[in-house]
Amino acid sequence: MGLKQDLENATVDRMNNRDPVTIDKTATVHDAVQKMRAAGMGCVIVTDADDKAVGIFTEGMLRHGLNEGPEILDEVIEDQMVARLPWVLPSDSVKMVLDAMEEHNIRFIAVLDEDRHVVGLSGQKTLMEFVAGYFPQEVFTHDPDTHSTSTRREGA
Amino acid sequence: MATPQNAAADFSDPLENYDPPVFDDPIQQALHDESVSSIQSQPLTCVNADLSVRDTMKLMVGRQIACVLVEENDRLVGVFGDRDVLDRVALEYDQVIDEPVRTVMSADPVYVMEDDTAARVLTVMSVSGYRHVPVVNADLKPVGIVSPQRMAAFLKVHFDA
Repeated sequence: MGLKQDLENATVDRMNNRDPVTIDKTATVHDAVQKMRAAGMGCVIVTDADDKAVGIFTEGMLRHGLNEGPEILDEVIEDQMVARLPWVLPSDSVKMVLDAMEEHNIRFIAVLDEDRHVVGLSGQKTLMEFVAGYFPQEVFTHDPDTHSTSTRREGA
Repeated sequence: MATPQNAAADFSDPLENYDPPVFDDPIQQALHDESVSSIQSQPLTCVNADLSVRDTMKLMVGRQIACVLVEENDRLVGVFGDRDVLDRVALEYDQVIDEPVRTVMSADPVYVMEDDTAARVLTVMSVSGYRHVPVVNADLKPVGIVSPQRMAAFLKVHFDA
């Protein structure tokens, strides 16, 4: 099968989804930053006392908040998150992730199980990895020293 | 002794019989055939390495962008994006906010040339882990930036074609 067919037929659980980083809604933004840094992730999923996802806080939101000053770090994460959490099911097609990225300009999509618990995190990075898998010759010949001396990774 | 005339006559193009790969899949073909310039890579925002972190972040918020290219003497020297804000600014705010952006940028970033393939950009994003890939010309002057959003739009166009 080709890439086009696989985008339609392959399911989200075939992607290299990340383990989600979660944080209780009563925690502070400072706590969230520490968790995101430790995990190298660009977002945290905010959960309630029943461990259900209630929102998402991203590094983009952090940039917006810090632009107003460092006081955001002391704010409760529930007051700074976005309550709308884009999601897909593990059985949804990879194409749904592509559509969401392109149409809604979002970076992260939570992967939920049937009970609506977050079981993974998909998004731009995992989609690019999925597509890059169709170009093994590019991946295998990618010279880490060409055009770069950086050792840091930017995105999760 | 070789002269320009007989050197030209003796020249044999090693790629003369090269057959480019042919894919059954239209998206794979497009990624292989089309160059970076066929992906939308502009507008781009460049800042001087001396600009303060505060003013750089203000610019990013004002333009609603997650990454800027940092240049010095018309050459790309770094990128500054949301991950740098998270890793180097958030908890060090008072120490770095009025420092030049060069102190917290990601220096020597991975970049692509204008005539690299779309597949190359995708590979850089995937293997190197950079979400935003600068595009430079032969003089290493930044001429564009490819974001995952723009890459997704490219994929969508060829999916729907």
